[in-house]
Amino acid sequence: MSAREQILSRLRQPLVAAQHVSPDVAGWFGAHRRSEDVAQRTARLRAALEAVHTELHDVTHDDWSSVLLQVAAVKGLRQILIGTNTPHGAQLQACQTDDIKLIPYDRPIDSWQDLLFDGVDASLTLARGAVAETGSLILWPTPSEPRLMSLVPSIHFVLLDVDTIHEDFYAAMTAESWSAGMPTNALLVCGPSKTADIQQTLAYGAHGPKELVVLLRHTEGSKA
Amino acid sequence: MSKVIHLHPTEDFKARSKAVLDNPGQRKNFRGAMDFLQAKRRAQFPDQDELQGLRELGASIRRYSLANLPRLLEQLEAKLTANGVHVHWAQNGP
Repeated sequence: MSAREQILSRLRQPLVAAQHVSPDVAGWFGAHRRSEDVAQRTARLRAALEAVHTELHDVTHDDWSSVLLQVAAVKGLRQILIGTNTPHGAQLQACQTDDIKLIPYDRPIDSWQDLLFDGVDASLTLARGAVAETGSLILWPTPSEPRLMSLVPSIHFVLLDVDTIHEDFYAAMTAESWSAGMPTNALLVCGPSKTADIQQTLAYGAHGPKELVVLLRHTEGSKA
Repeated sequence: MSKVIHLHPTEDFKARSKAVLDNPGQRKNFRGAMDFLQAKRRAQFPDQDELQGLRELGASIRRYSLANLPRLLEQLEAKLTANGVHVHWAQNGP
């Protein structure tokens, strides 16, 4: 008998009290739903993110790229990493200035590791959505915007459309049918990277970006 | 000369582990760590009824998953394989 068969056959012995009825997860979350509108979800997300040192800016489809470049200029950034063949990357490139260089992530990492770690100040990625209840951004890395973009640069800009903010994690998973196709990495980012492992002393940037800047993109006329 | 490490519990394992667990310094450390972590969790769930409901839902998911583990493992294996992951099955001990 193979290891697989032996393991499964042992597990088929009724060692725990059998519970064959599927837990009513949908029922629980349905009964606890807040039924918030976009503005309320945005407000809750904003409060949760601001509480953990995240910088937020309200933007529109027209002005987000200029706002990003202004924020980057104030911070003294010289290079921003962008994805390849993304609509937002192209929009940012269209208003590129001489002071800030936009670097597309268009090569395998092996050929430019030194530049990524030492020669890039910041990065921009698009969030797939967000979770208001926990103040979490949902990042869904793709070949166009690989995982290293939200991990290596010290400052991470995230563009988030407010109509993709869900009330809670269950709502996000079900509304977006996550179980139908998961990426290699699915990330929930709840602020800049921080750790308090050592002597319970809070330190930023140990395992990822030390600054998180969120551009909350509103549809025209609804900017808070 | 290298020291022999026994990987299987010897006969006095229970007595020795009890003595270690009764160590006042250890008790104090565990108490401190648990109080610290539980206070942080309580702060995240100001509504105690909601927290209790979530705990019961979580327990129910765990019981259901344990009772259906063979089927869930086979489903996991099929999905992983479809995603290009190579699955190995390995047992503890002989």
